[in-house]
Amino acid sequence: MNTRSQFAMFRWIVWRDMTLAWRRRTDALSTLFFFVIVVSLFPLSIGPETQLLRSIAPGVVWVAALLASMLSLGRLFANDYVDGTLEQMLLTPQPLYLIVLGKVLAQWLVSGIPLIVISPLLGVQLGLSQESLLMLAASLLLGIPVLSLIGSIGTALTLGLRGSGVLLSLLVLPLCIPTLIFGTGAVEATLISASPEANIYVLGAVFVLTVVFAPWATCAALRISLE
Amino acid sequence: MSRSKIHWYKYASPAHFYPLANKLIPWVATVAVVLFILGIYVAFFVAPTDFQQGDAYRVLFIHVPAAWMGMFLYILMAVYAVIGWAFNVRLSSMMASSLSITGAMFTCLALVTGSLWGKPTWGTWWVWDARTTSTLILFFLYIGFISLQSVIDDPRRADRAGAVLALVGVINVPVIYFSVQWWNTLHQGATIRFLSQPTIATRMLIPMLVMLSACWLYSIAVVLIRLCCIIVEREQSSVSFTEESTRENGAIAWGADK
Amino acid sequence: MTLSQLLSMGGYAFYVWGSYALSLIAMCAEVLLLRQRKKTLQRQHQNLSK
Repeated sequence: MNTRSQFAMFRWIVWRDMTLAWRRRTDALSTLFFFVIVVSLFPLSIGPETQLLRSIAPGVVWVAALLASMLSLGRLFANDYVDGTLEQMLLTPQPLYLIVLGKVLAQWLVSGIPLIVISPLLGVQLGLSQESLLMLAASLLLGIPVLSLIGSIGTALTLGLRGSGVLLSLLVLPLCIPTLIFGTGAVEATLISASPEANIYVLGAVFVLTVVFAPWATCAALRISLE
Repeated sequence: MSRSKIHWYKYASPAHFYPLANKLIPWVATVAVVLFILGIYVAFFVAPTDFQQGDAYRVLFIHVPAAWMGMFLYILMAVYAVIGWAFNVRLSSMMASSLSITGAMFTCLALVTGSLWGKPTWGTWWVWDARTTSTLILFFLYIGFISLQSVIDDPRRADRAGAVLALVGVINVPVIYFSVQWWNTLHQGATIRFLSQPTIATRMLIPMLVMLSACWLYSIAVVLIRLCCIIVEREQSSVSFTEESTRENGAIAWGADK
Repeated sequence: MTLSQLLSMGGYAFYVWGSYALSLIAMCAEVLLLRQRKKTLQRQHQNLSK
């Protein structure tokens, strides 16, 4: 078992999950529409005043993205758990770390990228300026993978439990708060024409650390849940 | 005890630890009550009235110990949970479960008393400054841990899942605190800033420390009582438990019919 | 500190005594709930050993 075969397996896992997700396109699309609807609820409840909406826009879009990610994460391991594939994945000689990373990457490509692509449109809806729109997409680009990775830990812990959807949010949302703070901080910096660099750098650091360490925790959680 | 060494590892068995805990609880509880009474006396009769805040600052003598206990108990809980997971020691995980509820209680108390202190001193019931927000997030972390453990039916899975969550949580706590501080400095604007207190006067420090010790001992007593309940609930059917308890005490200490 | 000072706490009686009262209630509640839990276990143990 060498690096080439590990990389081949990683590519295969990503391709497999994306194919399976494509066969259930509705799931990914419904996440997207949930995102759009939640963002639209805020102007409806707060009022159409542009200044106000512009000031809350980064927070609103980010929180909606966070909630939409939580929803889509429930599906990360569920299908494989139900039909026994997940147990087989635990038993392979290939490192589980790569399998988890592959699955999260696939889920991000299927569910996360649409969110990131749509976010500038929603930003326009809320009256954001052009640089802010760009920064919004950029911060989500760094942030949503972090949310997916931390969420994968929660999904693995709550595998097969009743009420796991809400429990997942309860477990994972406090851990996502730093990402939320720095992500919205970056966009708000552009709103007041300050430099968003510091926020983006910290967000990047959080991203790197999470990519390295979160899958390890997810593997541990999977082994615990599947004993 | 004879001149032979105490075999400490014996007490890692729930059945052996149980009688030891039962012996400790009354002593710890009594000292806790004494310290509480002493603490309240010193807090109200010895500590002077504050120049700026009047008598409202006396809330601090229960607020600060509660906040500290909330934090310490979380770290302790994580340590016990990880030990229980890494070394497969059941008693350690039971201790973590026991600590979680008391810790959550203290954190909630810290939030409420903090509000009650904030109203007369800052003018609002709630302020989104770094410390209050971090305490709120800590409360959420506790609730997550408790919920996870209560939903999982299999006790060993619950122990290990809780350990992973606690580990991730305890690593995140400094990150969360730092990010909340950053967020707070970004959004200074209209928020009232709570300036860090200058070095605290001795006559105010003593009641604080006495109350803190009282809270520690109260926590130890309550956590041990709950631990005993958890031991009985989980180990009732195990042979070692019934044998040990009957051999050492003749009957389970609190179950003896009197 | 006179009794009237103690009770009024410079006008902040609600906040100060409220905090201490809530703390006392919380701690007593915890102890009482634990006592109940122990009693239930005792009862179960007695039922089983009959």
